Order: sequence, then structure tokens, then C-alpha cells
Amino acid sequence: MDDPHPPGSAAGLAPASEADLLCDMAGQAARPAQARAAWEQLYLRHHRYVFVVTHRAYGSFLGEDGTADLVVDTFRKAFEWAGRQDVPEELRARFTGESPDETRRRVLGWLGAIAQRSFQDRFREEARRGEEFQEFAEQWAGEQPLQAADEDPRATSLVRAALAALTPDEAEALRVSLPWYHAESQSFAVPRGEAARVAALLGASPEALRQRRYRAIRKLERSLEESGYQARGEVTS
Amino acid sequence: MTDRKTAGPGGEDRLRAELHRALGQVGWRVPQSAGEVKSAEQWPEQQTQRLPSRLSQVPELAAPVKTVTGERSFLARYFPEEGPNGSEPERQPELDRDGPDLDR
Repeated sequence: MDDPHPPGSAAGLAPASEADLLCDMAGQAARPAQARAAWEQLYLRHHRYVFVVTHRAYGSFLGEDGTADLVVDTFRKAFEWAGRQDVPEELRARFTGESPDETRRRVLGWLGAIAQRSFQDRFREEARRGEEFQEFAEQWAGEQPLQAADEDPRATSLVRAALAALTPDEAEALRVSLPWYHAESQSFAVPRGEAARVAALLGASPEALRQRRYRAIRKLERSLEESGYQARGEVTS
Repeated sequence: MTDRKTAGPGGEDRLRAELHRALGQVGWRVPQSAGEVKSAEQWPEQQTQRLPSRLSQVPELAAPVKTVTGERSFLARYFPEEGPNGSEPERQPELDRDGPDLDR
């Protein structure tokens, strides 16, 4: 009797880890059908997750349809990037964690980074998108922290309360700017052309966007200080 | 890429790294670290969010060559002259930075 889930099919890859799937995707030149099946399996497992997290972050700017476009774009870019990796086994090793959960979360974090980048690309000059994505991809893969940190529910609750006190304009300005956050300087690095486009999305000027963002951050800091929120999410009261 | 001379010690546009991470926990950023993903996997919407019907099917791997709807129209609403006659692409993009603090 024929196997209803032959090994080379998406269904046949159901037991494979996410790192295994990336490894197969990286072998797309030599085994295109296997790579395609792996990509399908990755999509089937995690398209809901990717839609939910991107909808939370960008749904108010993109709408449901635009967010769906972003999801599809994210998975396509993941396949394209995997195909550019020279050594598939190195890719598997890079994303394999100490447990299946950790492996899955590493890959989902990677998909999240791609989604964020895809959102930024909507404001970027088209000529610059492709080459910068490759540079970004290699940098991200090499620098991301791989150790899971547990959330502090009390600290998260205080952050939510502080965010709820922002005006809609302030919240929107801060939220839309986050993809351009520069970790090293702890500030926002938005190229001018992109800043104009992002501001236009909100119906504002770049200057107004900066002012709203600044007010949002000040309010957030003040509110968290008053509530006893400390660095690293520790709560003192 | 970042002009640190204009960032200022007061940090008029600075966001502490801890707060940036916290915003990931509440969904303002797409989760990227394993810890953020762990929290996000517990969000109620993971079970309840209605998905656009077209996402229930595996999409094609290759994107359409050019689309009238989608990215071009997304920006065209705000920049109708975007394109060869629109803004010039920048080789090294200048950052949009604050001048003096305008919010006092």
C-alpha cells in the first residue's frame, strides 16, 4: 500500500523539527521538491502564529489584507534566504536548540525578524531592498540571543497600563517607529525618505511623528517610574 | 549610520533597551527572541484570531512580477508621483533626526 504521507511530501515532514525544515529549504538547488515540501510544512505549522504576531504589531497600519500580504512575503523571503546558505547542515545546527520548543522558538524569532524587515521594506526605496535584506539577515542570525528569558507577568502588566495612558497619536507614533530602533544607540535610526513615508502613513509630518514619539517615550518612562517598574522588568512595589 | 552627536545625553529620542524588550512582550513589536516567542505563543489570539481565508492555503513560492494592488498602491496613496519622476534614491540614506528639542 502506498504511504499516504511519503517522506518527500509536506505531510511526510510532520515529524521534522523547524531546524530540519530550514536545512531542507537550504538544499533547494539540489533537491527542489524536498525544499518545497519543507517550506510548505513550515508554512502550515506557523502561518497562524506569524499572522497573529504581525497583526498585533502592524495590523492597525496595514489592515487585515496588508498583514496577510506580509505573512506570505515573510515565508517567501525565508525560503529565498535559506536557498542562499552554502551549508545546509550549518543552518540546522544554528537553529537547533536544547529542546524542540527552543528550536521552534528560534525559527519563529527568525520569521519575526523577516516580518519586521518586510514591514520596513514597504517604506524603503525599492532599489535598496534586496541587497540590504541579505546584509540584515546575516547580521541578525549572528547576533540574536538564543537563550529564552521568562516573562515577568507583573512587569508586563505595568507596561500595558503605561501604554494604555498614551494618546492614540502617541501610541501610533511609537509603535510604527519600533522597526527602526537601533539597539546600540538605543534610539531610532530612520532614513529621511522612509521617515517621510512613515509619517505620511499617519497623516503627519516627520517632525510631528518625532514629537509624538518623544512624548510617548517620556510618558511611558514617567508612568513606569511612578508604578515602581525597574530596569530588566523587576517590580519594586 | 546613526549620528550619535545629535542623539544627546538627554536622549530626546532614546528608548531604553529594557523598554524596547518590554514592548515586544506586549506585542508592539514582532517577537524575535526565543523568550518573546514563548510569551507570544500563549496569546489568546493564537487560538481565536480569525485568519484571512487566503492564508489557509499554502501560497505560491514566487511573488507576482508586478502588482497594481499591493506595495505600489500602498505608497501611491501618499506619494502619487513615486517612481522615476519621484524622489531620488539615496546612496547613503540621511537619517531623520531631531534638531533642538521641539517639545518644550
